[in-house]
Amino acid sequence: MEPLKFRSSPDSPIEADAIALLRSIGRYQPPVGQKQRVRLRMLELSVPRRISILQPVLVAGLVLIGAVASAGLALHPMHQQTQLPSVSSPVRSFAAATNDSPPSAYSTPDNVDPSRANVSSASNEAPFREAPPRTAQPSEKVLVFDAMHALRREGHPQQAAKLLDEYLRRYPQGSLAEEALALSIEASTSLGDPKAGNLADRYLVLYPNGRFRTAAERARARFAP
Amino acid sequence: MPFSNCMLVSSVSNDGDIHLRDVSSPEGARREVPLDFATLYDTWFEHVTCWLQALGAPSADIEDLAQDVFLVVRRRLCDFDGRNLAGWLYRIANRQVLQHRRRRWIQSVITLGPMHSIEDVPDGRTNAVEALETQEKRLQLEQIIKKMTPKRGLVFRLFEVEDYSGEEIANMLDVPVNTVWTRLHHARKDFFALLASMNERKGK
Repeated sequence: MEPLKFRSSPDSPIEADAIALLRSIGRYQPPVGQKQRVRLRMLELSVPRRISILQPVLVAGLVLIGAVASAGLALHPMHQQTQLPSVSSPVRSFAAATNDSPPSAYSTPDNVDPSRANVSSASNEAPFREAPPRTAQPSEKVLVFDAMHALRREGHPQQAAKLLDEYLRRYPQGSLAEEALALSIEASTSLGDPKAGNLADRYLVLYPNGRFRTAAERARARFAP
Repeated sequence: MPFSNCMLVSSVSNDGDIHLRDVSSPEGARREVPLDFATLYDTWFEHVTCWLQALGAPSADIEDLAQDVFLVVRRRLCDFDGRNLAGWLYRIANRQVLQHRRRRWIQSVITLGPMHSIEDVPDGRTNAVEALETQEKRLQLEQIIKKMTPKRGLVFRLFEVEDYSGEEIANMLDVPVNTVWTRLHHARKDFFALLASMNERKGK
């Protein structure tokens, strides 16, 4: 196929017009000196460094800085001071009560001031007077999750039962009370403790349409007198 | 033909090095030149500016765009696989034109009005009448091509105005040659119809 403008005999008047139009327009020629100008401008610009090679290093560096900063913040004394009353006091009190090795989430950090820890453990004898919170507090979550961990991962139903009893004693109206009661039933069942029947009754009274109703009914049937 | 004047094609040797060969002459085709930026710039600058113009870049911005294209080429030359040099350069030019269009659009939005182009400035040269006639015809052609689909318009312009062969366009656009012929066939039909309607409007 040849370009239209090389056609010598057009087939129609409009084709003749088209050929005339195309012949009148030459191909694009860059202005004189443009090539040299661009070359000189490019020579003035140094070769940029290849950012793409550095990108993974930059990202890794930023992640590292972020990790170090968050770790530093977590170990800051002010931060620990605000965390201690809410997290460690119920945990430590329970650990003291059971004399078992506390789960990892309860373990006291090595750099915590011992005097502060003693204050915390001393205060655990006092009755817990504060109103049960509506949303799960860190200590609440820690108790239930550690109980779950002890029950299902570590296979320590006895420890789980103690943790859950503690939880239900402290937070009878807690946001995780239903889950704690259900786990408690599960722990007692796996221990073969007849207390599971009573717990199941309690569960069915408190949560007649609860999510763990089937498990509670099963436990009640198993430990029925 | 534009490529035939200084046609350097790239090839990859067995040891992985990229070489250029001038296929415009038998002697040149046998001699391989290592791929370097200076050779590439000298050989392809006119092509790149031509493509930029064909892609619809404003004449006043072609110089800046060509610089942008070759800055990218210089930066990315080490990543070039050596397969299709024309296609690689064309893709870079195309991307730069698209980015330029986006920038212009944003500028026009910010300034809340159309951007004035250097083409709007009257030409004061001695042969201004002739220049004006050519400018008018080019403008007429631009108006017709703008009404075509971008793919057809580009092929039409490269083949009919810029004298590229079908194979060269296919290589550049990385499409089969038959696709180029199909687009050209439809583009010609569009061209005739649009020119006829334009002439009718003028009362010719």
